[in-house]
Amino acid sequence: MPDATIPLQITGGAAAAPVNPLDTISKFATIQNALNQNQLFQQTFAAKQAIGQILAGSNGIDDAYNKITQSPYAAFAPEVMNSIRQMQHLGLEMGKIRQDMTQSAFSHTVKGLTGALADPSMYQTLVNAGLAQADPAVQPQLRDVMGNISTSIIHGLPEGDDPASKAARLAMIQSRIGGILMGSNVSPEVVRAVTGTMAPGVGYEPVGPGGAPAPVVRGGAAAGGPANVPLQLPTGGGNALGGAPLGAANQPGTGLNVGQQAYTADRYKDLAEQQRLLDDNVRIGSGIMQTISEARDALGQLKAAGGRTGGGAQAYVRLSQMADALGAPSDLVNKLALGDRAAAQEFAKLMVNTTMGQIQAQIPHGTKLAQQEFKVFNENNPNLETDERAIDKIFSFWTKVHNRDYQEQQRRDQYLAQPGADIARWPAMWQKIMRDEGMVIPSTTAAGSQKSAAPAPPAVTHKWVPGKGAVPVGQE
Amino acid sequence: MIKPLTEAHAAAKAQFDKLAEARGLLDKARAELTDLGKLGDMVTSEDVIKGAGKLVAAGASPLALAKLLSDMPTEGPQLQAWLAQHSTALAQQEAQLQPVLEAARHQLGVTGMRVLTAHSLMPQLAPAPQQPSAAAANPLMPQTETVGNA
Repeated sequence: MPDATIPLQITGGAAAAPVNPLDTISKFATIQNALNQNQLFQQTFAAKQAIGQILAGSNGIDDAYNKITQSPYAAFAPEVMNSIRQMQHLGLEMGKIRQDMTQSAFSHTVKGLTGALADPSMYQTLVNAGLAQADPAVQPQLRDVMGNISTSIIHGLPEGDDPASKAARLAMIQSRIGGILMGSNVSPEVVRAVTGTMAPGVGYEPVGPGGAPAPVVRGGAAAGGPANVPLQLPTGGGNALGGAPLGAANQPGTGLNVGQQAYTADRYKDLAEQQRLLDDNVRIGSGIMQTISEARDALGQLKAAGGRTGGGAQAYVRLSQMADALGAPSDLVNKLALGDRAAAQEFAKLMVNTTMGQIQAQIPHGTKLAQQEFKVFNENNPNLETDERAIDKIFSFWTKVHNRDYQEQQRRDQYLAQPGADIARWPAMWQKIMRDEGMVIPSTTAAGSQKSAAPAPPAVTHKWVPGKGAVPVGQE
Repeated sequence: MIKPLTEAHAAAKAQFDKLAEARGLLDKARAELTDLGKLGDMVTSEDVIKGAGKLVAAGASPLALAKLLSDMPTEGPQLQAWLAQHSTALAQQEAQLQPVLEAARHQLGVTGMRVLTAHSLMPQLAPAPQQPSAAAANPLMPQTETVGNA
């Protein structure tokens, strides 16, 4: 028996090139991968055909889904349902898009079918519209084919005008359309391409040397769409990156790249939030203005009774409360409360309201204030302890702020009512208006550099009196 | 590529039409049988013959119906049972036809969509709707007919 520890040194003639085992495995893996892909394609193709038949014989999309999940093609069920839902969604989208009327029979049919997939009650209307539109442009034999497709969808549907029959009819139309689209391999991408949502367009993406923006063509024939849809180029007035103006960002084929689209979407989201905050501020400000009006009345009443606000006033009011509780005469109670106890208490109460309003206007929505924080806020808002002149100035400031917000809201709505208005341009326009009309005067001097040119708020002509309603001021 | 698809669609259409016609005939037979069933044991052979006449008028084969009626009892419970037996046979035929018809109907739609897709993708291969004049002929297009005639 040979000693296994002794090397045999058998080389077999000329030295063979060393074999890289990893290279062999790599080649094998490539071939295996190609085989797997081919197999997957075959399986997918067969499954789509079979699922198309299941769909066609189902009583609605949900029924079809149940049947597919119980079939050997259950693994394809989510993908199929996703495709159908997407096509339904596209049908809804198409309702909002006006398309060129001179497109092919295929385009008209796909539009009609996906529209009916989204809303089967519109089936006949959509088919008739498709046939009418296709009539001048489509060859007669294709018109017959369109009619045959329609027949394959409506043949043998349950009759009857009762709700159950109608519902069954609509559900069957949906499942049959889904089956035909699936069986003929019309994918959501094809639908997008045909309906123009993927019209060819030139955009700019960071694919150039060093990540520089370079033009790329998207959509169109390359994406499976019709070649006869004109190429859409970014028009003049675009932004620095070569994209279309921001205002046209939601139009298909504007040439905005992914980054620009994301920026634009965020920008409009911020503007919507800003718009909502402005509307909220005006609404809250109106409440504060009403309260200020009442508070001024209460202050006037207090002064007329010989009272005042300022340091120690709050202590006097508390003292008067105790005197009242102890049964002291009302004259004494009023004197202790700086003249008019009712007016002083009303003023104090109204200032709590304005504090709440200011908190709503100044603190971000959803922020919660601790009790101590509210106390600090309240103490720094006008109250009985605040000097009367300070109260007057603070009220004036609040009024100016409200006036500015009110002006911005009104002017914004006027601007947006104009054709071609773009909310994205409004912030800059408002800044210009404020400067032009002197609401803001830039100056290097620190104080007194701003003045408000906003008109005064409408004068208070009526007051609400419980039991009487709106009564002219002075007659309440 | 368009021609095979067009032929497939034409075949699907022919099959569907034939099956739909058969289905229509079965529906009419069902309607007649239902009407006869309403008569109960009062049904007579004349009633059945009258119904068969309607079916022939609707397109049923007179020979097939004559064969069918050949073993018909004259009247009474036997005739009622005979009708019930044919009703069951009809139900079986309906059950056999339905899935075939559904498949043909689906196939009609699918082949139709394929034809439209092909025309959409390759409009240049589809026959032109109007014959272009010789002066307007595209010199870059293959001149097969000219070559053949020469």
